Amino acid sequence: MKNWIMKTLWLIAALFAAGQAFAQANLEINTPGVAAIQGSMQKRHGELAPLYASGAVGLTRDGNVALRDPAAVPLAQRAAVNGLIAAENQDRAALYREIARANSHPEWEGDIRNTFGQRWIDRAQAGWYYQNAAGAWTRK
Amino acid sequence: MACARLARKASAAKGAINVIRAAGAFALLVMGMLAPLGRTQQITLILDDLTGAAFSAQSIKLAFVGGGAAAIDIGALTVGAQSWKHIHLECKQLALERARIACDEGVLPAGEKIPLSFSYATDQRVLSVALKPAPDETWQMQLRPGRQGNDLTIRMDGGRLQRVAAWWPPDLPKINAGVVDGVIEYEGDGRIAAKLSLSNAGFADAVGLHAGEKLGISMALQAEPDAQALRWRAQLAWSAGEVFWQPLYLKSANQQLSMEGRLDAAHLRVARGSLRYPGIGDVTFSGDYDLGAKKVTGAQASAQAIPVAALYESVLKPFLDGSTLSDLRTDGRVSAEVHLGVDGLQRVDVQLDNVSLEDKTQHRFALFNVNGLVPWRAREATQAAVTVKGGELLKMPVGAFAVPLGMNGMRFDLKQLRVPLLDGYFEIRDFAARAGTANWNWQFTGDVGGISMDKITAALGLPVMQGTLAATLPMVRHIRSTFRVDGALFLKVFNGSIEVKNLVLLDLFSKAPRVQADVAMRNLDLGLVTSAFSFGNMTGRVDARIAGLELVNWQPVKFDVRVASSAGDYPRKISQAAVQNISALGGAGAAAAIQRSFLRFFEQFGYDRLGWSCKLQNGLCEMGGVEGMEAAQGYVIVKGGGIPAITVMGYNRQVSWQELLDRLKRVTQGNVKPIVE
Repeated sequence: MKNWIMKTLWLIAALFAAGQAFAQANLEINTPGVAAIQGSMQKRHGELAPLYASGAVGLTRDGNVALRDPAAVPLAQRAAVNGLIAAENQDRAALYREIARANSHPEWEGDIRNTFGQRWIDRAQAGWYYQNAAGAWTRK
Repeated sequence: MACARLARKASAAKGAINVIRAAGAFALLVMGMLAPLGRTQQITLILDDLTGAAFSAQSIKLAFVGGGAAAIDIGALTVGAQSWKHIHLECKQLALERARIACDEGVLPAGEKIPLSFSYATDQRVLSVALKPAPDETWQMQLRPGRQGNDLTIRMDGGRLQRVAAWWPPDLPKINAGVVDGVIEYEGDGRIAAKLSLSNAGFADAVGLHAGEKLGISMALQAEPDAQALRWRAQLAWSAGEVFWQPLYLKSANQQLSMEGRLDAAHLRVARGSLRYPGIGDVTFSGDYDLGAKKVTGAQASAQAIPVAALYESVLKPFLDGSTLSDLRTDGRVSAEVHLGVDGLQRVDVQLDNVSLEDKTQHRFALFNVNGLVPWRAREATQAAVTVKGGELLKMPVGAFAVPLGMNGMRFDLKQLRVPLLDGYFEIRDFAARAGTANWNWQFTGDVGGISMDKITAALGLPVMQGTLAATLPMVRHIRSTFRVDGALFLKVFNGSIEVKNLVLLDLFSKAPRVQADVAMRNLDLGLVTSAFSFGNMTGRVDARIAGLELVNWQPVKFDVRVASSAGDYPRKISQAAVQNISALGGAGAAAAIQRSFLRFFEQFGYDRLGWSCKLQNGLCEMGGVEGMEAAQGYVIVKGGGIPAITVMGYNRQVSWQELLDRLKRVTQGNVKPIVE
């Protein structure tokens, strides 16, 4: 019984320590990899910003972007917009992976993604759409 | 008076029923429930099973209410392949005459109240029904005796497509707009002829991956029974609108599709089909679809002399988005024949006719005049015979070569591929590619030889170097997104050698490719190196060891480098310019010191050894000098020797990597002081 309690306490302590460890992650770390990905995302932002503003594209809970309202995008531009979304999500995945690697903790990638997901939403401009905790699209 | 009127109506109704019975096409059950003749005078008739070609109405109930009005309920109605249940009609004035039953002002309350009229000519046995949901919209149906059984004609004039959307298969994108005009004719002997034209039609799915807008399509279909099957022909022409079917975007260009085949209970067969795509060409095809298993059990398609440029722009490009082939200039023609079996792709023959492709904006590669045949088989070993007249690789000219590609299902092999590059070549041997579960895995060995360094460095925009480039590529493997080089990559440059070990390239085609390697350079001729990099002339030989090299996005983020004079006997001289530049590595000061001293009169100095180390981590370079000559106040970069000799010391132990690169560029003042012996 005592052994069981000790094990549980250890587990709680270990989980707490893991959380603490992630809390120490340097999300602002700058490596050539992070810089290259951020540069690529910055270049794309000019094309994405009007799509955020029109509500065609929104920010998802898991740190990605998604086509929210297809009707807001003419058919001729649909493929290009889908391409932009795919490229942006690829860069975001690469960014989370690169920051985790640069922190020498590749296993933090998931936590970094979640933190960034919230951060993108916090920094979104008024009028942009994001997914709330329940997954529903909400206008900021 | 009221009694007399009712009696007349009852008699007329009986007459009509008798006519219908006499027609023989209808089974009639009269239950004639005469309501008690009171204030709610009502007659209810129950008819049953009205049938004709592609038409049936079951459990028909007529209820006469006062003032000539009637309510009609149909238990089940079938027209063509569609069925409706529990249809309720309201008729303001039902005319029951000897030769005609008619309702001119009826209403079908189906969500909205749709105006309806129908008439039945009892002598000719012709039933006509017209629905007019909108002033510019009419749906008409006529059922009449034909040569064999009854014939049915359905005529649509301005019919809104959304009305049929409810019966559209739920797994297809929803119809959201459009108008249909035309006629469908079913004949009692099973023949069908339809001529329809859709205008301003639209469809879309919820996620926006499949949609069409403002579509104009005309269709014609003829079918006739043949044994236990239906022989059919269909023609489609797409004259207006646009379609997005992820990732394809197609605009109407009067594309025409025509097909003919058979349909039975188990199979839909296209015996002959052709697609005419203006600007691209014609595709002929045939195929067999198993209706039970819902899969294609066999198909073949062929297209001759299709212009590659139009095919690439309209069809291929969207599929290649984000890849290295996403922005090409293409030319030439291609013919292809594809066979599908029950197990999927069985055979593909591709004939290339002067096909050229060029990386349009980045100019990374180009292949010109590719000709030959690629005969691929799913379960048979074959060999492609493809020749390439020339090309470019990173703006360097590539000569003619042949690609003897061996194929066996999803395994591709290349025994030897020798590609002329500049004045030399590169050769790939024992190339083998296999389709993995998620992506391709491949490997090869090879070498590079006979390429003049001055030519390749000039072509790559690098400082011009002398000598000849020769390299041996040990086994290179690509598994998932990782390239791994087993063994050592060996290059001969600057009259010395470079050996690269443990080379791994991760995420090579991503935004942040990573390279890991250990590099050993031996006996590099300093004269060649320094003249290549305009570093100021030095003579001698050096070894360099780079351990744990890590590049991200082609920029170093981690390494431990040690440069030292090679062992052996050779002339060792260093120019004043080189001293200045080496000094820059350690910091400010040395150049000024040299210029102030009488040493500026000497162009060259002798030296005994040189050494420099840098351990790069977190953007900082931890520097050192000649091994074993560490001094408390600094480190020796150049240990003087001979006459006149010069010793260069460094004092800064730590420097930011970026700063070091900037210093190398600027060659500014520093705290490196030459010591004259």
